[in-house]
Amino acid sequence: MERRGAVKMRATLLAAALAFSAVAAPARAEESVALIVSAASPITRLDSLEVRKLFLGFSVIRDGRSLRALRNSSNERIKQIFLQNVVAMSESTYEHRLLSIALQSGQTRPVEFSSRTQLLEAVANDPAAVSFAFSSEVAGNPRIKVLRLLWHD
Amino acid sequence: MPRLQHLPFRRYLHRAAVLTFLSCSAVSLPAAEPHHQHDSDWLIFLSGEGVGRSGFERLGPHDYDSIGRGDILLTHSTDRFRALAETVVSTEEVDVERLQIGVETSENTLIWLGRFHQPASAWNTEHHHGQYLQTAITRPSIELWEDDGGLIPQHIAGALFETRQPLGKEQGLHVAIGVGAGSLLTPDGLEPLRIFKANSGNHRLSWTARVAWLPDFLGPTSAGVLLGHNELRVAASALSIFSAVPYIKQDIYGAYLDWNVPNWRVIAAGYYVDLAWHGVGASPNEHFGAGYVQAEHQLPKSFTLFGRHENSFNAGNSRFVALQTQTFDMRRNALGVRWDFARRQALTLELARTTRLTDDFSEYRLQWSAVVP
Repeated sequence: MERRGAVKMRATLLAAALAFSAVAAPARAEESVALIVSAASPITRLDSLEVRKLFLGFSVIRDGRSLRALRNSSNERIKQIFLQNVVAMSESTYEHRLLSIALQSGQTRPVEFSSRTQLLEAVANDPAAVSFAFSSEVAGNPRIKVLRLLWHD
Repeated sequence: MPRLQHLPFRRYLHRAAVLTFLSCSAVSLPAAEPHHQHDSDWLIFLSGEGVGRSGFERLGPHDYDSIGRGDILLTHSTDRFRALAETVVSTEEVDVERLQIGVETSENTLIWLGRFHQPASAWNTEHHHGQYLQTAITRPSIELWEDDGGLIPQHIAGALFETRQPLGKEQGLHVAIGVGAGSLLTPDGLEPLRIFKANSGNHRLSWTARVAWLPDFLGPTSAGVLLGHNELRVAASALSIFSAVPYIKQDIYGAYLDWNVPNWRVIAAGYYVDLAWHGVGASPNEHFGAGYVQAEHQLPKSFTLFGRHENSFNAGNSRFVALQTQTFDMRRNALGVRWDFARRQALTLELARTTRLTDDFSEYRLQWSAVVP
C-alpha cells in the first residue's frame, strides 16, 4: 500500500514537473527581445537613438535608402517591452506622437503587425525593414538577421 | 434647403475626393516594385461640435463653427519622395487644405512644393486640421484659418524647406522656411490660393520662417522665433476704405514655446504684426499684437484640464483688425476639460468669456473628436 502510494506520488510529481516545464519552457525562451532585419539587408548596426527615431516616425537613411519600422504587436508582453524600453512612452502618448508626426510631416506611421508570422515574413522580404521580436522566435531563422538585443530579462 | 443649393457642395465634395485620391494614387504607381520600399497611410480626423452663447445677440456667418468636420489625410512615401494631401470636408466647406510633393534631400531635411501651412504659426503647424490632436476645442484667435476670419495668412502655394538636425548629443534645431504666393484681401477676409477652385489671381509674395530649439531632438518640446512677410493684394471688390490701396505689406515677428513635461503642457505664442499700406493716398502704417498662453494638466482616468488666456494690444485701433470684428477675439479666457475614451476618441467641454471689438459674450462648447483608423 505504501509502495503503491509512493509510486503514485512519484508519478504525480513527474507529471507536475513535466507540466510545469512545458509551461515554463516558452517563458524562458522569451527572455530577450532582438532587433531584427532581413538576412538580405545590408544593415549591420543601429544604435538606440536611431531605433527610437525610426519607431517615432522620423526618417533614418542608410545607404541612400529610408528604413521602415514595423511594429510587433503580436502579444501584449512584447508591446509593453517595446513601449517601456525602446520608445519610453505610454501607449497613448506614443500613438498621439505618431499621429502628430504623420500630420505634420507626412511621414507614414510604422506598420503594425498583430501576427508574428506575417511580421517575420514582411521583415524577411524587405531589406529596408526593421523590427523586433523575442529572440526565441527568430533563432535559427535563416531569412532573419539579429542585429542586437534590445532588452533581456 | 432647396435642392439646387446642394449641387455645388456635392460637386466640390466629389471633385475634392477624386482629385485627392488621384493625386495620391499617381505617386503610388511605383507600388509594383519589389521589397515594399514605399508606404501609404491615411487618417481621418472626425469631430462634431455644438456651441452656445449668452450675451451675444447678433449671430453672424462666423458665429458657429462647423457642426461636423472630417479631415482626411493621405500620405505616400517612397525612398526619397513624399506626398501629402489634406482635405477638410465639413458642414461649412470642402477644401483641399494641403497638397504637397516633397523630396528628402538628406535625413529629416525636406523640400516641398505645393500648397502648405505656413511655418510661422505655432499652433497650426502642430495641429493642422486634426481637431482630435488639439486639447482645446477652439484655436487661438490669432491662429484662425483665413476662411474662419484669420488675420494672418496661413496657407502659401510655393516651396517649403524643412530641416530637423541634432545639436550635440540630445538637442536639436528645427528650421522651416516657406515662400510662394500668399493671400488676397477680399471683403470676406483673407483668401489664399485655392486648389481646384477659381482664383482671382495676382497673389503676391509671402514668406515665413521658424527657427526652433528642441531640448530633446525626438521630443515634442520646442521653443523658437517666428517671422513672416506677406504682401496682401487688395481685391478690386474689397471694402471702400481700401479702394486706393493696391496692396498691404504685413510683417510678423513672433516667438513661441511648446513645453511638455510629465502630466503638464504649456503652449504659448506672441505675435507683433506691422502693416504698411501702399498706394495713392496710403494711410500711415499701423500695428497690433496678439498672443496666448494655454496650460494643460493630465489628470487620472484620462481626463485633461486646460485653460487658455488670449490677449492683444492696439487691436482696437487697427482698421485691418476691424475687418474681422465678428471673429477676432481681443481678449478671451477659456477653461475646459477633455476626456479621452475608447480608442482614439475624446469628449471636450470648453467654457469661455470673450471680448471682441463690438461685443462681450460667454460661450459653451461641447465636442466629440476621434481619429480613424
